Amino acid sequence: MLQEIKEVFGKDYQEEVRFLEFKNSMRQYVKLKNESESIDDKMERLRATGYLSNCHIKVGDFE
Amino acid sequence: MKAETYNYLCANALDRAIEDVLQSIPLSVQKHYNLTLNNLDKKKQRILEEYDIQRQSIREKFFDVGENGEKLIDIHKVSACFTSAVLKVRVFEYSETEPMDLSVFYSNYTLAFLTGIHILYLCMLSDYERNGEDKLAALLKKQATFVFPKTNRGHDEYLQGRVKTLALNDIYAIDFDVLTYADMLYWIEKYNKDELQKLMSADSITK
Repeated sequence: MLQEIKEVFGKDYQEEVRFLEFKNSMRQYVKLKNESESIDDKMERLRATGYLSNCHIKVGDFE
Repeated sequence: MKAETYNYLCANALDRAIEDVLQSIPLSVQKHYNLTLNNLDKKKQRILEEYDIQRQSIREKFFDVGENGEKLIDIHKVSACFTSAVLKVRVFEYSETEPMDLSVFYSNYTLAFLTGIHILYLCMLSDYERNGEDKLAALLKKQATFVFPKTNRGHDEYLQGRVKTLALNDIYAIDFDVLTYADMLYWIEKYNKDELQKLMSADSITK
């Protein structure tokens, strides 16, 4: 028990906690970019032409 | 997502994927394991709900949503979110008896994988039409499928490998990784674009 308490105040553990907090603070800066067209617009284009998919994908056998 | 968009995706992606799964399992096997599609409309509604939850979460966490929240997620993430939603809902039902037929056990994982692929197909076709790439659009419609790369000797075929991966992650309760899955879908789409481009070039040479 004393060993576990000692570990919490140990340098490595404190360093881990500090880095975890630092990573969390970086969340707001790490963001993916996307400027592409919406799926609504993509599907509207196909719907407007009356397109109905005849796409089929052969699954094959599982071994 | 607008209701019309989801209805269109259901009719042209999810329903196509359901047909593909049923086509791959002999009728006698379907009957033996009582493979059924009960309450499909309700399940489609649940898929949309699960999709929305997933989409909202990844949009808020991972994306720059713009000053007024106007920016969206890309279609690979959309397809990945749908794959995740279909996995959660378990569209196909069957008798869980032993010995189990693997194609039946994999049915929902296959459905999840193929739903994402069918969405990619529709988006690729729409993009060709938007960009005025009529020859490529016509070729894709004529092909009416998506292709997958050959795998190395001794490995599962690509599609089977992807389905097994989804199954393994589910069996071992590993969280679905939308970002990495979306990246895989990007490469599948690129592979198909490159193959179509080669077909078109070959077509031009022979004419």
